[in-house]
Amino acid sequence: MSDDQPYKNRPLSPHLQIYKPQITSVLSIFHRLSGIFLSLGLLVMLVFILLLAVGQDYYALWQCFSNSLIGEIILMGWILALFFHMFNGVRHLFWDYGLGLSLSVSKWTGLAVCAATIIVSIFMGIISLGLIL
Amino acid sequence: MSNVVKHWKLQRYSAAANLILALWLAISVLCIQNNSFQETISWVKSPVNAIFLSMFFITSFLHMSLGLQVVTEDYISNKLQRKRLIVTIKSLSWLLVILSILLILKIIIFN
Repeated sequence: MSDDQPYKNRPLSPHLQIYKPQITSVLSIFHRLSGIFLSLGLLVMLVFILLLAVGQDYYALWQCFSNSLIGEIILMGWILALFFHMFNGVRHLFWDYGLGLSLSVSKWTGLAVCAATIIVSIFMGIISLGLIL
Repeated sequence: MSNVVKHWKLQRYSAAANLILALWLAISVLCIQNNSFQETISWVKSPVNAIFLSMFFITSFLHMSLGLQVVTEDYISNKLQRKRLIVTIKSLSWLLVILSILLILKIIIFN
């Protein structure tokens, strides 16, 4: 577009693939990706309420989806994304108060976020399959 | 308060709200996942669930709208396209929040 012409020849800053992946940068991009993925999840949550509101026959469509293998895999993906985004979001909130910003602390909180996400997601998965409780 | 500060604060407030509401929703979904149609309807109709569910939709769509707006600002370099996309995200979020509340009200009143 014409309004971008003067900026065409400016040097570009090195992009993501130039850098060696580190836990801080990888978690940062996954925070964004999980957020976008969860936006889709929110829309599906709305579709769920819509199908529930229009009646039993349409709700059966939802049950078909959520009981299918594909449906269960996608729903587990949302559980995983939700808890990752949630735990990493708490990390961001601490950063906003100026806490845990040093390199060493942000590395171990990053690892803690990954560990917590995996543990809670497996726990949720086990409960939803009816293996315990 | 400037728009940028407002955006930053709203993103944090909605995050804090979602921390509670999304956790509540995840646990609730686990509890009601094998429910029949009628049982799910009565779950939505119970006052605490209806209020929490409405609040979840409000804060989540707000959080989503703010987040997608930042993503758009970062990756869409064309000014006009960027503006259009942000307006679309904002209006769609408002529309979907209103729709979700209406659907919950429909379930409470007519089911």
